[in-house]
Amino acid sequence: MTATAPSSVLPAPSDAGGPPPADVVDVRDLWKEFGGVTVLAGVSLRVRERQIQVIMGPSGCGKSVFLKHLVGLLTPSRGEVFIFGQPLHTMDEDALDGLRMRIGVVFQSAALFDSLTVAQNVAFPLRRHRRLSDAAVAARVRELLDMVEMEGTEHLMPSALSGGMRKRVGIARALALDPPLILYDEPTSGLDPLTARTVDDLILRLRDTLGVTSVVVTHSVDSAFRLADRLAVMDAGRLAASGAPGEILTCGHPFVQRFLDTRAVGVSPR
Amino acid sequence: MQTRHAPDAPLAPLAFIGRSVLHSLAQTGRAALMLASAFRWVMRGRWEFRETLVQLNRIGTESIPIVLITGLFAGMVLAYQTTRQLIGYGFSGLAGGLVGLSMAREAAPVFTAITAAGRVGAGIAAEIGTMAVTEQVDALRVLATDPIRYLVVPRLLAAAFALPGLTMFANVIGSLGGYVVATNLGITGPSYVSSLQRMVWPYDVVAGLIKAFLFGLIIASVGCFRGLYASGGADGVGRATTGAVVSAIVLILVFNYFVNLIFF
Repeated sequence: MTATAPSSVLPAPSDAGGPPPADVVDVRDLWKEFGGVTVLAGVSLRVRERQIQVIMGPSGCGKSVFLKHLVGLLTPSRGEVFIFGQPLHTMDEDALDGLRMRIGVVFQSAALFDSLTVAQNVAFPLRRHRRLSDAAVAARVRELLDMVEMEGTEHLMPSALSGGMRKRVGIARALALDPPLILYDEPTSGLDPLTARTVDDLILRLRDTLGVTSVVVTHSVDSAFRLADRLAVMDAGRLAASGAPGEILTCGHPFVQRFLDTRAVGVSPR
Repeated sequence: MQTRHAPDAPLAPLAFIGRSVLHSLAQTGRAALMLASAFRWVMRGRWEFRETLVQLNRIGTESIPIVLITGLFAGMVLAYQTTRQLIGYGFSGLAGGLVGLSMAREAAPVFTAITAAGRVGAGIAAEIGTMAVTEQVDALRVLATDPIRYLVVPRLLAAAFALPGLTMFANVIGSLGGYVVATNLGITGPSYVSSLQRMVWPYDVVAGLIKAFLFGLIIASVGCFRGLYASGGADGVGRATTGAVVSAIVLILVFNYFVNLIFF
């Protein structure tokens, strides 16, 4: 596993037979400070192709800050971030834009553009980065909205949508350019359990049908165990543990045990 | 317990001044970088044409009614004060020229800019500030769209070209309002028009319009800057909006003085 990880970090499972899948995300010894306050303290993490990597931890532990480094919204104080093997931490804005077209991001608040309709929001990346006819854009928008079960909402403004609907439109927009990597920032926070389950199912379906690699940041233990192929637990800017969900459940790290004690009844090791 | 880094009580004011200076320098640097980036996009010819037209409509067309009202009353009050004084000293023949000159050089560009700072500058700061605190600006960036190119440049261009147009409206309506007031105070119509034609040169009008162009740039850049760096939810957006209006008005008045030294 990673060189700087604490002792409780568990080894990644070996892949028997065939070459190992490529690392889509490779973060090495990432540090971030804001005005003298250390928010990330030497985080290292690798995410392989077609996996769902969940990063779990309490509010304010640095999960979202970590996620923002994976798409160049923040620059590291120290450390390296490689996405698809490319050194994101050294890129200028033009090069970053090229890479960003291969990364979808679903924001905690969905971050839909208030002044645009649902259809215009989903079409936004297509209109800017693909040369498609109006008919082709409209067809693609319909296809994406069908995928997230939001068909028929094209003409609505974001203000007319519920939290769960906004999240799903945010996912549709993130999928517009067929990115091989999607980052989710608290995709189920603020949603009722049924809607949260729908969003979780959607994330799983994207992995199973499109082979999308996902990094999901959440403080929901329930969602984390439902989604994760690999799970990392973050505490105060450090990874307290990382491994397969079953390994995390049996890991002896006191913080991890304390955090998992809050999990919903019925969650079982995978 | 006093920490090692806390300044001694007598030094606290100095520390405060130091922090304020550093903050101001940092803000100035950020604003300069934003403007440099916007200038680069303009020079590269990568304009958001549709978005610029939308902003031109919002900043220009939708501001016409309020500018007509402020321009009309500015011209009327100028004519009222000027004409009464001139009649008292026996120079009533100068009324039209003085009103026209004051409108073209000062009142029209400055009043229009201050009105626009309240209406347009506040709107820009509130809109972009809301986008910043609700992650919409981050969403633009991750969708490989530079917020400077998509949000700032169209507003800068729209404000810079709309303000001279609005100022021209203020010039015309202000002079008409002045005519009505002056003729009611006893000046004859032909005398008012004749002094206007004699004393107001095209140079005066064009210089006023150039000032309006600069004021437009100030209003939009301050609004965009305050909006982009808004933080802290609704409270932050409120502070950004207030700050945008106050800063723009102060900068307009300061720049107006120095531009006058150059033009007149």
